Parts: sequence; C-alpha cells; structure tokens
Amino acid sequence: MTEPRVNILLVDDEPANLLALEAILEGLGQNLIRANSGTEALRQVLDNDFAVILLDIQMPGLSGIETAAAIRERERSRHIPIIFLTGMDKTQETMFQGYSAGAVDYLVKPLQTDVLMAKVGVFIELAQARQRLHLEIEERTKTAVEISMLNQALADKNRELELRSAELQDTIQELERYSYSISHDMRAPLRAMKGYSDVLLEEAVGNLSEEHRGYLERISSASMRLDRLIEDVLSYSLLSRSKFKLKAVDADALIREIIDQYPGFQQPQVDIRIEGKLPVVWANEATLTQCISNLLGNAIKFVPKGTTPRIRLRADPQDKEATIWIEDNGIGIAPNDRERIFGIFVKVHAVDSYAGTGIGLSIVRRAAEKMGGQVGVESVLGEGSRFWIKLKTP
Amino acid sequence: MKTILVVEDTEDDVFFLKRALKSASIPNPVQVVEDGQKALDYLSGTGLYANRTQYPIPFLVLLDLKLPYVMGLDVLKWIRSQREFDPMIVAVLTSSQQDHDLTETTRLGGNFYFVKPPTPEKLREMVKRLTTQTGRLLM
Repeated sequence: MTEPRVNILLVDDEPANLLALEAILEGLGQNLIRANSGTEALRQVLDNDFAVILLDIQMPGLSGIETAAAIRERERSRHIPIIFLTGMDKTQETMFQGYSAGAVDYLVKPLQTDVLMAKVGVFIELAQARQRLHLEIEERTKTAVEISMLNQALADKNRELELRSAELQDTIQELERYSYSISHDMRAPLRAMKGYSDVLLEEAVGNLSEEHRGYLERISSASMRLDRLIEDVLSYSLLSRSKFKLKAVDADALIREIIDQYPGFQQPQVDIRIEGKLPVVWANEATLTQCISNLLGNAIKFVPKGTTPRIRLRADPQDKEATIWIEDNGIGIAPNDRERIFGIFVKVHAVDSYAGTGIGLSIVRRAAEKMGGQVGVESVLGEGSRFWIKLKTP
Repeated sequence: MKTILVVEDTEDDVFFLKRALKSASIPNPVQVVEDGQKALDYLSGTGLYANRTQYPIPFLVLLDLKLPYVMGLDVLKWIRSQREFDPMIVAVLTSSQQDHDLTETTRLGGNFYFVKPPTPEKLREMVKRLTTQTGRLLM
C-alpha cells in the first residue's frame, strides 16, 4: 500500500527562508504549503490538516509563539506538532514560552539539513500511521455498520417469515376445520338421497319398470360412493390434524383381531394367513388398524376376476424397527405407478374396473408417517404386490 | 307403553329413524324435538311441554350430536346431572364413525351410539346391547 501524502506547513516571513526550507524538504515527497505570516498560517490550519508545522518565532504581526497558542486553542488543530525555528539569540525565556505554547521541538537557524529532515520525517511517519489507523477504523466501522444493517434486515425478514408462517398455519387449520365441517354436513342430504331411493326400491317396486328400478339403484349406489369418498376425506383430514401418543402395540394380536372381526377378510372368500409371529411395534392402535385394514382391503379388491385373493403377512424384524410385509396375488402395480399410488386421489384403474376413492393409500402413508414409520411396495405386474410398512419397535 | 324421545333437527333423519323403529318392531310411542333447547324443555317439563300426560318422561333418548342452540353433548351432560334421570338411556346418533365427539359421548355417560342412517338392524342391535347392559327388558 502506498503511503498517502501528508501536508507540511512552513511559516516564515522571509521568502528566502521559506525557499530554503522547501529546498531541503522537497526530497521527502510530501505537500509543502507556505505561509508568510502567523495570520496566513492560522488560515491554512483552518482548512487543512498538517503532519507538522515549522514555525518561525520572529515574525512581524502575530509572532510564532502567539500563532502556536492560537493553533493550540482550536480543538481540531490541537494535536498538530509544531517545531519552532529560531535564531541564535533564543533565550531560556522564549524556549519556555514556546514549549508552553505547544512546541514539540526547537531548531536553531541556520538549519542543518539532515537534522531537519530526520525530525520532520518522524512526524510524517506519525501522521501517516495516524491516517492509516483512521482509514482502518473507518473501514471497520463501515463494515460493522453494514453487518449490523444486514443483521437487521435478516431479523426483519425472519420476523416477517414467522408471521407469514403463523398466518399460513392458521389458514390451513381453518381450511381443515372448514373442509371437515363441510364434509360432515354433506352427509345429511346424501343420507336422504340414499334413504328415499331405498324406500322406493322397497315399497314401490311393483309400480316401477325394470329401467326405472335401475335408475333408483344407481341413485342409491352413487350416494353410497359419495358417502365413502366423504368418509375417506374425513379420515385423511382427521389424520393430518390429530396428535396421538405412540405406545407398544402387539401387531400380531391386533391384525388377527382385524381379520376375525371383518367377514370380508375370512375364508372362503379370502385366504389370509399370518406366517410366524408379528412383532410388538410403536403405534397407535386405531391408526395401525386403519393402515392394515386399508392394505388388506386393497389386496382383496385388486385381483383378476375369478381369482380368490391369497394374502400372506409376515414380519422382518431389524434393530429397533420391524417391517411387516403384506403379499398378495393381485394384478400388480406398474413400475411408474408404484410411488404415485400413495398420492391423494390417485387411481390407476378405469373407474368401472375397480371402484375406490383414491384416498386409501394416502391414508396409509400419512398414518405410517404419523407413527414415525414408512410404507412402500414391491410388485411384479400381473403377479402380485408386496406392500410393506416399517415401524419402530420397543 | 314407555316413550322414546328423538332429538333430531333433520326432518329426513326423523323420517328414517321412525321407519327403522317400525321395521325393527319397536312399538313405543315416539316424541320428537328439533333442537337442544327443546330437548331440555321437554325433559324438565317446562313451557310447551308442561303437560306430562301428553309429554311423558322418556325411558330412551335418541340424541343427534349436531343440533341447533344447545349441542347434543350438552343435552347429554345435563341429563346426567339430573339424579331423577339416572335410569334414562341415552343413545347418540352421529353421521360419522370418526366424529371426535364420540369419545366424549362415553365419557359423559352415553349408553350407546350408532352411525346414521339408522337401520332396523342397528336398532335391534342397540336393543339387544342395552338389554344386557342394563339388565332389564327395554321395550
């Protein structure tokens, strides 16, 4: 880094002396500024900062001592070192006056070139060091201010984000409550549609043509379909909102009970078997029941026409977790669909071939995740699927 | 014959409930009120329902949970706070198995619940269960 040039003030009423000073100091490569009187020196000090002032004592008008005293009085110039230049006739008294007026040194004329240059050089270095320090402080202050501004901006942004996030949370909760309530209320008119069509089917059958009877059956089954859809949406939304504690659940007992309780899961329509013993897992009973029922229901539903569903359950315990496999002899799932089927409202079959709401597997996934677990599937198209659910174990 | 009180604001649901009661061969007289406040008035025999001959105290209340003015659970809570109604059976009707109020129903002293629509089978099941539960013949 090149040193900045500093100012040196030369004050003498004799132009010859000024010229001599300039000639000596030129080699230092700094800015030399001349003043031919005390008054002129004061004016210069007003406008500029100086590394050092060389001040002749004997001047008409404002003397060197008086000039020095005036420079000392001003706050801004108080620190500028002053070297007095004096003739041979200096007395103890003038020296004392000079020092009390703020002189740092005396040089006696005629001036010795090397002494003058050495002394002035010290003050130049001092001024340069001070300037460097000043610049550095300025730089650091600027950086600190910038950092603090950035921090402030960051804090503002953060607060804004927190606020936005809280607002979003509120909106989501409100929407969920709203959708729950709407779904709930939609069931009443639906019950009426289904109920009255069933009444007509029971009581007015004699007065109806085969065709009209068919229409009524369609109304009835359509309302049932919508009802199931609403029930599934409610399950899903409830699952998203609910918080539950996990406890150790005996998956073996739970799944056997599910199979026992639901006629659709029993012989001879279905061949479900548990191989070995299923482990105890961390779960919520109702939620795990929902998962397993959905997976079993799917395994039974998605078989080729005329095939008896054959389902095998077994567990694969690992360290601190266990995977429960549910293997079926169904139609299988194409590779592209294996991840997609867990999304909400995703159906990969034509409406007529396999009825469903497209929510079942999203409920299973959401439920498994809520219990700290995972679900997935392996499959060979046309040969069956192996769904798995992985849960933590005590 | 002992009276059944139906607390239900949806006309259609009242219709289906009455029909199902008939199909299930439950012959008891049925009184209907359309909101929670009227249920409280009926049970306490005030206002319109002061005449106990015309509006006898029911042995069974079929209570919808979603009601105008006073909610079903509050009606249930009130019934359970009245000593004289201790033997009264309260069955709750709900439109969803997942109704979060269902757990409250048991806690507050509901005897039974079923998910709408009411069918003769569900009502027969209810009668059977309540008979074993209370140890007395219901109808």
